[in-house]
Amino acid sequence: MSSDALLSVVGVEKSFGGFQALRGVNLEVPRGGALGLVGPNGSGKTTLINIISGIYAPTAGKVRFGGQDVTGRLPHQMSHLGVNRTFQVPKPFGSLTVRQNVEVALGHSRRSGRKTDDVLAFLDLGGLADREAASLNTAQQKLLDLGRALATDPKLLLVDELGAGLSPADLDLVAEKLNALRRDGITMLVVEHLMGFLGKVTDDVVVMNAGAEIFFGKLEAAAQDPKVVEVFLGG
Amino acid sequence: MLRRRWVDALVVVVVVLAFVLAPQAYSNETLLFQMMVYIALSQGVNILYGFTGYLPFGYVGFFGIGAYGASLLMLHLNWPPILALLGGGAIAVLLGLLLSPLLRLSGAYFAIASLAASQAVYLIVSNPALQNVTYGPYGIQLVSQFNPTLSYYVMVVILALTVAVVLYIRRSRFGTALQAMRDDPVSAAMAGVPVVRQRTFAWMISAAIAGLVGGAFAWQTSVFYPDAVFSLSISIFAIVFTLFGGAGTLLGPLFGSVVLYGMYNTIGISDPQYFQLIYGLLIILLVLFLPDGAASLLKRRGSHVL
Repeated sequence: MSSDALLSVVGVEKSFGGFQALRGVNLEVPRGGALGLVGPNGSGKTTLINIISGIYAPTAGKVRFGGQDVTGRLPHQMSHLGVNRTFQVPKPFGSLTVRQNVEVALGHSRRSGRKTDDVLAFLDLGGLADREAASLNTAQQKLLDLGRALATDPKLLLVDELGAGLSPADLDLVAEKLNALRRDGITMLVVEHLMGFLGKVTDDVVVMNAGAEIFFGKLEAAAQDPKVVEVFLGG
Repeated sequence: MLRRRWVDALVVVVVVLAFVLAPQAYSNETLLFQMMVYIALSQGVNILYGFTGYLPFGYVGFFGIGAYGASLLMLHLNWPPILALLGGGAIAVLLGLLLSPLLRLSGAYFAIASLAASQAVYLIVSNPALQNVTYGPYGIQLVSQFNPTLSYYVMVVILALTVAVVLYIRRSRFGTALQAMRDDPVSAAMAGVPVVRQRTFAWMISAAIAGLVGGAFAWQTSVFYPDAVFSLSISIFAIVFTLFGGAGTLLGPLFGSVVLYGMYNTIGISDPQYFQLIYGLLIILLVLFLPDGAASLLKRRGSHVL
């Protein structure tokens, strides 16, 4: 295990009743790196993100963050430690304004030196600051998810299908934002189906299938890997 | 910010003045007292439902335990009434703590479980086997402590505190966090909000209000049976008043309590059948057309409702 890994997932398993969603996943994200996580629907990507962010406790295995065992910590504790995320289906505080959405996160963060207006400006949400979050469109709500995560000043950002449903122009814009955040030193784990987008924001990818990782390496190499091809295109 | 503080202070002062001066103009102090009881209870429901989304059908349990707690402290330990009232509030908070695991449930399940819990408390308190402690089904007599005037003014103070607490919650980071949890508990947790702890805290504030109000009610009434302070209709009134006015605002439940409780007293007692008809229709119309209460009529026009 390399010492510069910010996040290490070691042998993580997760069962829901009789269904084993994860069957011993191992992966590492180096400090400052960006790892892509791909795989067909139901391969366990979001379950893994939910475990790392503390929403689920794993059935077995360990999650280490910054060298510390954080297995089974609660979501608000993970948030305080510097792990945050976006959601596949955006989850804004619908009855609050955009500004309040960010302020809740800012006010409860243990680490944040950020300012609400900076976060909103960075995501081009400044003009919507006083709108009720429920009235935003999906793309805007996804950005707001990201904004709320940024307000907690995360060291590790888990990005769960931020690209899905965005227009090509929006996709480029979001990719640029994520790269800017990386340059600021935020480490990322990015779940995505859109390979073009993934190629722009990540260094390496892990491919998952049926609850286990089957490939680690460059995205281009993944496309040549027989196991990966079989999973995506059928054998 | 400063202007808001003035508005808040003004609201509290107006409420206090209204109930301090009302007995000069209107001689039925009992009715005024009970109106204060319902305003405070509906604000208690409001803290829980309006801010966290949990609908406490068993809210009356805190009211009843507060009434009994305060009474028994006066009867068994000879505590002076005001101290006993605080004791009643504290006992309600303890009950709230004991029942806090119910908050793991949500929606209708929470509503039903809290209702069951309140009825369990009622059955324990009214059990003849506990006659030596609670006087069982034979009820409470506080005749030696009877003081309708002082208990009236103590209720004014409790009401003022309740209004101030709701205003504080509305303005504070705590209140925004509660609303965030109501909208999406998972996102709230990721935003760093300790969801369980803050929700439990709101639940206990709400319990404390009902407990204090129950104690004041017991003192004012001075003779009552268990079913009078554990009646489900108390929960239902407080909930309907809150929903009618608009949960999540301060003025909504206040407006709802004054209008609907006033209506109950004008026609509910003389013509109960018409009252029930009107009430039933009102609830149906409310659920169908105005789920966010009267306050939403103003909000739709773009006004801010305190």
